[in-house]
Amino acid sequence: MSGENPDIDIGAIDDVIHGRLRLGVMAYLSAVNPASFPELLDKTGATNGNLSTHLTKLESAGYVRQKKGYNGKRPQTLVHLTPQGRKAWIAYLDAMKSLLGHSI
Amino acid sequence: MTKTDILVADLAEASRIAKAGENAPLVGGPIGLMWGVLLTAVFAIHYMIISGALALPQQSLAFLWIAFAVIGGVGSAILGRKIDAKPGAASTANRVEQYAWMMFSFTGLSLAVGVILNQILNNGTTELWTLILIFGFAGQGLVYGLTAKLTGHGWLHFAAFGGFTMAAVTMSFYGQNIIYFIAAIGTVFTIIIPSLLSMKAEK
Repeated sequence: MSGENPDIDIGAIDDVIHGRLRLGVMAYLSAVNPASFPELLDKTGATNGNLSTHLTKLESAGYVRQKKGYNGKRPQTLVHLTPQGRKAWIAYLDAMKSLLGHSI
Repeated sequence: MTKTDILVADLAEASRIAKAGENAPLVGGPIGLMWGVLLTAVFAIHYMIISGALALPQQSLAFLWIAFAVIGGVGSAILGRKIDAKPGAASTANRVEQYAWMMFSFTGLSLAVGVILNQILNNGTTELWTLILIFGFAGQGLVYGLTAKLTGHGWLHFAAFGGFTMAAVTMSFYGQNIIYFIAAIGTVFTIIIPSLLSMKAEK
């Protein structure tokens, strides 16, 4: 497949979503919404700081919302995929289909 | 590696993560188990009271069912807090299951309110309470069936079949005291066993 289309237009892809970790976060939130911070750490294999940085980037774009609260007496951060984030995620997948064909 | 290779690898990883979320197990088993054990005990005690095996006045039935609702409500709140913290608790499957059972409890509550009003306003028969038991089994079948279809956990269709079967069986004993004994046994099959299976699948 790599030989068929080596010069795809990366500029057509939503840069906020793209990137392995942010892509993973968006993918997980598309199935489990909201997800707790530790849950995202576990599923993406990211480090605390790295995940935090990327979540801030997604939050700045309005794609996710971090809500700090408590579960019982324990502090808990829940990450929600916003309606805008879901739209962007669908648009991202559509862009991928256009770029890579309908095999994904 | 070309840009396409990187892109495909990133998408494959995203797909793996999305599937992990999509395939999250149902996490509501402990709440179901609690309600199942509670309901089995309450049906059995109800039967013992109305059959005279337990020397308690008929009025104690009201306290029995109020205690059932209070203990179940408190237990659900405590267990629900723990369950909400589990990975995948907010997956589509778990949200469907949670919401379907919530609507089921509102169905039961609305029928209970109706029976109370009927007794106050029309001196209705206490036998109406038994109808809630029968509708409860039918409702379980409905909830299990919907959950099975919408979440892809196909084995729940067996639980749905159990609920519908128990609705038919209990209806055939309507008007007889034994219906509560049958309901106690039926609940083991329609709630306790499916909840245990759900908890096993979660591990």
